Amino acid sequence: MFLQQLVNGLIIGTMYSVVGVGFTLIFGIMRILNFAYGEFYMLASYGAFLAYSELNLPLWVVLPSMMMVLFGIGALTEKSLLKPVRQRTLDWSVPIIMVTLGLQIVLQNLALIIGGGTFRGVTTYLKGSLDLGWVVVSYERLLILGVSVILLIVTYLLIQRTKFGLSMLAVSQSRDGALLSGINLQRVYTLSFGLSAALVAVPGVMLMPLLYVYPTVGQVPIMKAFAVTLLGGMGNVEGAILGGILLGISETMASAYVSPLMKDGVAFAFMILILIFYPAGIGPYLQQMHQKVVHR
Amino acid sequence: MTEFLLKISHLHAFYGDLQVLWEINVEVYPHEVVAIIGSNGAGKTTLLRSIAGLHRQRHGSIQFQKEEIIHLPPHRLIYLGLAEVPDERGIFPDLSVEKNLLAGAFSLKSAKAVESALVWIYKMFPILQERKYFLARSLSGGEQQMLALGKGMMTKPKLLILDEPSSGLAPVMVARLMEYIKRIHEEGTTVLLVEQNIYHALRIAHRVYVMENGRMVLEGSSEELFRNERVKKAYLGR
Repeated sequence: MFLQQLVNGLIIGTMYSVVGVGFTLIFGIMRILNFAYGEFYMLASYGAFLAYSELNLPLWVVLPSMMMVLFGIGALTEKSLLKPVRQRTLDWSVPIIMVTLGLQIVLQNLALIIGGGTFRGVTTYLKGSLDLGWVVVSYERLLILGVSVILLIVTYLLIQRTKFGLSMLAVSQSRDGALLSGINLQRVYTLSFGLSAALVAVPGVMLMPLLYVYPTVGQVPIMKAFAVTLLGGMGNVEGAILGGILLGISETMASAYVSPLMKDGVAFAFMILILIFYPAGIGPYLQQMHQKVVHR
Repeated sequence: MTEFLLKISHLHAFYGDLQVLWEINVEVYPHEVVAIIGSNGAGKTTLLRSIAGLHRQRHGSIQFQKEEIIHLPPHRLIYLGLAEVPDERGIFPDLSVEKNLLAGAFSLKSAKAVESALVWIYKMFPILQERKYFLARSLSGGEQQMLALGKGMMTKPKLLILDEPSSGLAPVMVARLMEYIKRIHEEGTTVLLVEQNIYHALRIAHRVYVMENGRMVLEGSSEELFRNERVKKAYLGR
């Protein structure tokens, strides 16, 4: 029972990690919270529902195409709604946060008008399960695990090993330093916004059978994103990966051993507890440990 | 007279309605070291930020190799051969020393050019090679300034602009820093620096501008200024 819950929590946690990484990336680079982040998830979920159950496209087509569509939507949002604000004032953080908050409401209302308020969804992408004796895992959850692990690795390598990743890291730490090195800030902002939306498209597609899709479904991932980001340290990618897994496990445990009704409550109480002792999140401590290992 | 490398004419800068720079004229010729000195609040940092385009409320003319650059976005300048180390050093505290240098070489296209730049910088600043896997934030103030210089030099720019490189450093480190700046100059890079430490500025620079309250009040060779009564009184305490 305990192992089963641990495995379930770990698997859902890796998806929360993906949700958290996309959110924390934008905070790290632009120092803003993207309140429309959950709505990017919602759009990907609706898109997956249409493509998978109306157009009968296979999942391996649906997933990458939703990532591409959301990359475009994210980049376009940045370019058409946020960039004009940035160009008019140097103090753009708060106005841009308000723009994303407005966009959240507008997209929710549009979804309500176009799609109606009903819950939609598919029962499952993959049937059957794997019985290992000590633990039973459905193929669908294995797929979720595989997709999120691959995505996290690819994202990590993109950030750490590519020139674009270096420019994101540079911008997140010193805008002047990045500009003077020849890094085009506008371009980094636009591409990172696209990347962030493409990342959250993955849980949008993969979790649709579990969470269904409705106009305000974005509330669920954005709450997870907040929790994971705070837990991991604002803007800290490694922290968000670990934070997502911690949140997934604590949610599952709370649901199994306390009450399914207390799932979110217990998980968030746990988060508050960690923040009391580690106000900057666990990310900075991960980094210190990493430094010690490297320089021993 | 040779062609100027950087020519600033009739530059005025503002913070909202407040004017902070008036009618600035500065020329820098190839293979010079030029210093701008002045007390706190004279507008030196604003001037350097205006040149790089980090401060945009300004008008006038800034020409680099005869090309007008005042309307260019700041990230284009390094492609022309103009590098600047800003007042906060412009390094990335949570990146390793090596990644800081690689970011400094962002404008270089080929991997080979980046690799040879890295070798060259490590030869010039051996301490950076020793510390290459350390986070920039874990370096001492002097080492961080070395890193800032190294990062600024990765593209071997024609002009390197430094904003108070000696600030916050121990005297022995300042002396070493000045040696490094001389070395950079010998490698063929022209240097424009802002200094509060007048002795160092007069010793290292060929020509010096004196700034007061947002205006240039004096200009001359270091020897001239060293003998100038006004400079003696105001800055050298003699």
